[in-house]
Amino acid sequence: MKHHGPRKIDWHAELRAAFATPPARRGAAFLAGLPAWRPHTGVGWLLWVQLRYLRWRVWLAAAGAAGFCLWLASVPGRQDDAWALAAVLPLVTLVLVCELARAARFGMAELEAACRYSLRQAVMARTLLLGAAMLPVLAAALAALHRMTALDLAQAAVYLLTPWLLSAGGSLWVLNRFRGAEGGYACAAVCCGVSAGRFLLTFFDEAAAAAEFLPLWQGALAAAILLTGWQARRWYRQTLCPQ
Amino acid sequence: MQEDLVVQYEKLYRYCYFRVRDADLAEDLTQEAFLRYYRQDESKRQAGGTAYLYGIARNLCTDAFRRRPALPLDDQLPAPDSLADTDRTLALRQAIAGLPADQQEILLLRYANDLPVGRVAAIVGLSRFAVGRKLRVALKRLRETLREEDFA
Repeated sequence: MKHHGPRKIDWHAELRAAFATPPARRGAAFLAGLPAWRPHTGVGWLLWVQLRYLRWRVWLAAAGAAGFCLWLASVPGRQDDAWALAAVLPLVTLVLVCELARAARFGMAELEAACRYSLRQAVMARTLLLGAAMLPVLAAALAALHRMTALDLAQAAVYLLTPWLLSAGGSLWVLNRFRGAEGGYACAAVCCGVSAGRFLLTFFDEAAAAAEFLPLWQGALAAAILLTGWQARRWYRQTLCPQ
Repeated sequence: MQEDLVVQYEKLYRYCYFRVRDADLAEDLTQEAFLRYYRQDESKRQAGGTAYLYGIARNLCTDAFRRRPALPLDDQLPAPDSLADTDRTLALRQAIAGLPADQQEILLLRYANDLPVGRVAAIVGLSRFAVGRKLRVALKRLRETLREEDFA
């Protein structure tokens, strides 16, 4: 049959007819056996799942340390105890680092890699939450030290962050070399050692806090930052690519 | 990939059928593509979407085609809906068969499977402009063919 006059061509309909296929005979049975399609879950759900994974002791340690710092700052006449602020931070680090390494300690990496989220996403979400737990502690310690001493915020940050980063970097160094329970014990030794070292330094506090030693502290902070960054990178590589 | 799975299956089957010209093989390849797609982790599936699924099917069809040459279109194809459309649809099929393989593929993906130009470009590995250009050339040839046959 011939058509008279031009007509607009509906290419979708025309080509769908031209590309028509014999019916698919096995499609229904195949699709019935497919795993149920799971809806997309966002970052919020991932963070919520990781929040439930972290044990209550993490939040208890962070809240306790922050509370201790604020209490110490609020009690008059305790300027000589300002060293305790820097000594508390490594102990909180111990709790956080052990929590971060808990999954790797029990060989959970392959199981986590088979779950809905990639291992990388789960580990990064966990790290974000643990970092968020540490922030109030650092803020409280910084505010307390600034209030209790004559130090300005930048100088107080140097005195606080140095032992904290040393304990974090040292713990990661240990975890990169020791697996299982030994890694946890070794982390405890590192963090308690740093805390004890900060305590011993109180006998020389006046000298240690003197302006001429500030460059030494700054150098120690830079070294601690490098150590922590280097060991954190190595730890993530070992965790995300389990062998 | 939010589209109904049944519709997605039929579209992918259509694509595989016109790559390998064998209904049973096309179903096997469609199912294999779905299984491989599901085996990937969620983040990869979310990132790639439909284009990733078609990419898997495309590679499977290429491998199958190398192992087994394509058969010509046969009378397995369903008949058009009415006599009025019989000649027109047959003329279109012949015209499509005369196009280069890449233009046939793009026509199928864009018009038969209703994929957006961007997704077609991602599947075939060309830019959007290249896909648009090939579509215009292909449609022009089809229009000329229909005009010659006095269907336009």
